[in-house]
Amino acid sequence: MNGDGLDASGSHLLVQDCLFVGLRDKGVSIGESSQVFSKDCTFRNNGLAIAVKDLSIAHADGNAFIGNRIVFGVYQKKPVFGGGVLTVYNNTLEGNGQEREVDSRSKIVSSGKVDEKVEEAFNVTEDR
Amino acid sequence: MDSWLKPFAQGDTIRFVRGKYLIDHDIVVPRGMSVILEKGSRFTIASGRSLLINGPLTVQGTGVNPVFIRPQDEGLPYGVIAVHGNGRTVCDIRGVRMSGGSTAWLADRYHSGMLTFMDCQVSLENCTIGGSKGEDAVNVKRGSIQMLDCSFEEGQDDLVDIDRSTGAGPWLHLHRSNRW
Repeated sequence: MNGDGLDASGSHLLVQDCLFVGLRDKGVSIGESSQVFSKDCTFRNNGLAIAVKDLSIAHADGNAFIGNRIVFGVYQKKPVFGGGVLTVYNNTLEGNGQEREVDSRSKIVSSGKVDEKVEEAFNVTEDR
Repeated sequence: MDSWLKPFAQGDTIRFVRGKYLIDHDIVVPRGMSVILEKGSRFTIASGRSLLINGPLTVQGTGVNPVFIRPQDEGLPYGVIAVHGNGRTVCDIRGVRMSGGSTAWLADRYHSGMLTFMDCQVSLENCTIGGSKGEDAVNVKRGSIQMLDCSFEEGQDDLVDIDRSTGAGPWLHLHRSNRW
């Protein structure tokens, strides 16, 4: 399987309770000023589980990352944009090759709890 | 209206009941007409051919009686099934099993997904979509989408591609047991 599982460009997206398995490229690719919340998903044996690029903002909470080559990649891909920002909360990581790859224009922030305003922005509920 | 469609037209709706259908040329559904694919309908599409819908699309497949969309020849991909909406156009897709499409230029627009929605409010539920031979299996442009219990597999390139979908609230939501 080549290509990405889910490729978001310029979009606002809640990805909840999804399963991404065996994708040689990215499980979720987030680009071009997208905002994405990945919640309670499983990423298994992908090339890069979550990529955040080009002024995109992403949040990851409650996910399981198992056996991926890289878990988080945050970077600028297209010069017209800037880097990306990923906030990681409570996720489970097991048997991955590398946890993160971040360029100088981007950052990964660790936080213990998802801010209510973030949950509100993505309309997150525990049971849909 | 394309003469192929006329037997299925009922007022402002094109309805396909349970049965087999072969799309052997590009078909364009007139603007504003709704299309309904009832459970148990099975479509085969000839190499490079496409269906363009310019209004709401409803697919009523079930677990026992899905709606199948497949190439006429397994080795020769068809083009796309595409819906052009007006931003409020509703596409309610349930129980479809779709494979073997690619990409197409239709109405002067490029369609990167074998199932493409432009300016539509899309819901996909209990669908299995795979084996795409083009850029994307599913492409949503400038719309909204909800997915529930869907499976996407074995695409040549990307599986689900969401472009420039804007609006208020959580307008894109891929949820529960979607499997890639």
